[in-house]
Amino acid sequence: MIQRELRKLILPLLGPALLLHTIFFVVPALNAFYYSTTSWSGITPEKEFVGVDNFVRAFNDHTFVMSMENVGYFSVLGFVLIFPLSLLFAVVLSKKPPFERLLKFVIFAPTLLSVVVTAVLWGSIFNPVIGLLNESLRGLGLETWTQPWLGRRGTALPAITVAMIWQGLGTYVILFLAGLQKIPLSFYESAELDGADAWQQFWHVTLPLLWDVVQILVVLWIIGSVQAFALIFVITRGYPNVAEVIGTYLYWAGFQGQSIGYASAMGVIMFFLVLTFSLLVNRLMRRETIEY
Amino acid sequence: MADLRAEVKNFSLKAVTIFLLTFYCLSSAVALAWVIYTSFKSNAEFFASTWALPGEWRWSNYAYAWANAEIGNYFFNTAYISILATAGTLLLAAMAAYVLARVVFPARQFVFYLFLTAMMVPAMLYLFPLFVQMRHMRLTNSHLGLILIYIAGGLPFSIFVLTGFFRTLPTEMEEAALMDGASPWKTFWMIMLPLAKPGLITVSIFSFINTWNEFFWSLILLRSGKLYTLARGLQTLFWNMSTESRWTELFAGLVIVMMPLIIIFILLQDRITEGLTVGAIKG
Amino acid sequence: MQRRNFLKCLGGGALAWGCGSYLPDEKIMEISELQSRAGELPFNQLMWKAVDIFEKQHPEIRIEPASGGGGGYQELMVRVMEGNPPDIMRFATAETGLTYSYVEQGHVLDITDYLQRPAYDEPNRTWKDIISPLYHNTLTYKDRFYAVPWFVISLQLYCNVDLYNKAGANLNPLTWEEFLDNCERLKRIGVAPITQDGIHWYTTWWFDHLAQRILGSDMVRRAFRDPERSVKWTEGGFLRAARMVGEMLDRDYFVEGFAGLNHIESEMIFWQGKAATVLVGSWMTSGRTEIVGDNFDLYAFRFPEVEGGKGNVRELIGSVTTFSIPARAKHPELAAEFLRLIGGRWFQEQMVEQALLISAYPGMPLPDVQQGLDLILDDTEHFFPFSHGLEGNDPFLYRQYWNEWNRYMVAREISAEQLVESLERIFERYYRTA
Repeated sequence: MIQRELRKLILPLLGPALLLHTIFFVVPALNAFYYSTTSWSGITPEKEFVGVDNFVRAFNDHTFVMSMENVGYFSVLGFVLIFPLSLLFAVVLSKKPPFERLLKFVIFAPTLLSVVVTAVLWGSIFNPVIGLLNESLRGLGLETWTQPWLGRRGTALPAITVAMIWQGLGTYVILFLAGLQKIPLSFYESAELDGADAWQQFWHVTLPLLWDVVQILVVLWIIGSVQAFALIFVITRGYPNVAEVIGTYLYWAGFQGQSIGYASAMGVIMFFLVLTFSLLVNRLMRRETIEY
Repeated sequence: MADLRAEVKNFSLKAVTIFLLTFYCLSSAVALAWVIYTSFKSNAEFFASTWALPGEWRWSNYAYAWANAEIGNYFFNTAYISILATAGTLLLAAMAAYVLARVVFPARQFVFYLFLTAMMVPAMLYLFPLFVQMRHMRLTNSHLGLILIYIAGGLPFSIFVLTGFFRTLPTEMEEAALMDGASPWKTFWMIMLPLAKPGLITVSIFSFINTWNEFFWSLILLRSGKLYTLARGLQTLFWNMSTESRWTELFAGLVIVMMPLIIIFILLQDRITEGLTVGAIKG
Repeated sequence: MQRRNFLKCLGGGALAWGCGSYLPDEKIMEISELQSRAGELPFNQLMWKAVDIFEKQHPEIRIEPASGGGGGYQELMVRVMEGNPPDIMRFATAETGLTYSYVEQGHVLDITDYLQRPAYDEPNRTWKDIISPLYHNTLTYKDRFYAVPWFVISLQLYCNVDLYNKAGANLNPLTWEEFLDNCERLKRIGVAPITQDGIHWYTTWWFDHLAQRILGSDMVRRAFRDPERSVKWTEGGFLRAARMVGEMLDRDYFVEGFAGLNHIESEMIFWQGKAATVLVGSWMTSGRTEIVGDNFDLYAFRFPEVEGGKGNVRELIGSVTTFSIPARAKHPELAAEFLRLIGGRWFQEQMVEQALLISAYPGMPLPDVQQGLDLILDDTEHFFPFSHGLEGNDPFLYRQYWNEWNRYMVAREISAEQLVESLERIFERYYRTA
């Protein structure tokens, strides 16, 4: 009976959100699949149905393949660096270290700042002529170590990864921190009594109980790194460059290459990548939830 | 023997941790300090030596960034857009979350997941169709269009958090109110919503920070310089300034853009981290 | 309740305001190359002078920069896509001239008839007459005019005369061997022979020139643009050209770290006297009067010929940057009038003098600073666009081309043989599946 009353609320309360969501997400998302099968330029009205041609073209397109490789690079390298680092920092923070406020500030501040800020900051640091990095190397007498950091693929990719990690660390530390705080101290105490040292405690108590959190964060990381756009776009000034990722190439293809159909196909590919890897991760990381 | 090995392991673990932390903090601090004191130099000084401290502290760089580079204008744009978008997201998400948490109806699960899947779908997928749509709706190059997109974009996460929140609230209060003859509408606004305050705070913090910093849609949607937001304006500044070799003015602009959030963070650090952690736990 | 109502009104009002800021003002004409009035570039100041004159002549219209002023080309194309273009803009890229695909898609206004009007300050001749015929092919499509010239760009080598003299280098190397000899001499006095932008497509210009000098521009054009592959990249001449570029790299003739330099930075190195030569377009001096100053002795010389090459040295890679009127411009008539205004002698002369740009109208002097350029231009028979228009017309193919070149020249990952082979594979596959 209460439910009957409550049901009157569905339209007025749920309606607006649902309407907005449909107009600004559902409809365009479905349209994307449609566009990806056309050869629409986005400027002229002709939309010719081409089936899977755009997808075939994408995989034959060197630039697209390179962009996928770059995404893979950022995802993997970023993951390998950011997870241990953020977990470590979270553990440190959970133990009330000295200078706690300062540490929290330095770790969380970059995440609060816009990606553009990170891009401008690190773009300036890596500038080969007046950038902080090269100038420091010169100052220390290490001239030979100076590099055109963002000019060559071999150095540009790691450099941008560093910027990515600097930006993203805060989010992951917070989430790990939240997960850590859920673990009752009693677990650690009994482990200690059993003679486990810090490392063993971490490995056998902390990590298993954080597994769920780790899983969520891996999926988050995948979603984030496949979509990576703003940081790379701003650092590379939107020009074609060797650090191209799917996002920036898609943007270029649609707006400058005048191929919205082709660009939508790339978007669809991106979507399936995210979907596939998320499902994969869920599969591989599946375990019984430990209730505590 | 085992003790010694354990001790060495512990020690090296500590050493590595301390090293990493210090390195990270130092490099961040050095980079930020560099930006800040460079913003007070003249360009000639900067090119002469990257490291040197400024000879005299030029505030004219800041004046240039604020006025010529229009950062002041971008600041106001961003402020009012963020406030409106956050308010809108909060309102719509809270309403929807309540229904999804409390009201039983056939398509309930479906609608919930409809919102949720949006979090996993890359914005790139629907970028172009949505852009074309905005064109048809004549909402390109307008703040209204941007605000609507921000609200729609903030809904999935906010609904996710708030639904979870509403679920944890006790049902007795609703039942009591409805039994007493109160309308469901009033019940929601007067009783349930105020109870959700902690969740609302979390959501508004996230929402505000995200819209303040948002770059992607302001890049796509805004064409006229006077409509730009801070992020978009900073990007334009960066692209223009470095080709004009006005690095010090650029850094002044960078500092101006960074300052508000940093100051807010310093002042409200505890509340913010608390709010975010609470949200994270609930999530 | 009260508070809620108040907030609702506030929200509604703000949304309406946000809505209103979109509606375009009908009495405004937008010009894409105009920056804000505060923009200090000499050309911009000159444009504003023209704007003031025009607004006095036509009080019913106001002129504003389009798209936040000097907005990226991408932004303008998006506005064209939206059906809301500015009134004057470019449908060309700086290096490739008028991009035909835009004309074919109906985005550009045919202005042939406007050009029959009298020239602005020469009533005896038509506007069309005063534009040098040398540039007509970059302004027309199927014999109809779609653009008027803004300024001329040509690519040549510039050198720092003082450094060259100090090194005993030849200011007018006629052959490639002489050019390489110059580089050796410069190295000996500790100066980087050549500065180069390594991030953008400028890297491929060396190859463009060498290929043209060895094989002639017709063959190069077919390698770039012919879908039937009547000329392939694996043709011996291209391999030789690629190897010659590689030789320059091996001998460290390019400034150190060029891979990370953008074109402004690499030009700064030239102006600061740290490198002696640069292969760049004649735009390099525009807007740089404060740097160039009186102390810098600049000289331009033609790209040398290659021994046994079939290319005509009187062919120049270059183009005219242009102004066009979009087909859906709001004020096409007034836009044409404005363009006629800036086609006048008074504007062109000031453009040469203050902005140091090269005018497309014959009889105009060259900027003083561009010594040697007059000899080059007077002798030129034919202009062809950089990459023979590939960049503007087949951007996806062009990107792949540039990417391979980057791998060879900047990253040094592949050999010259691998480069030409993979280029041919890429082109062949692209044209086959396009």
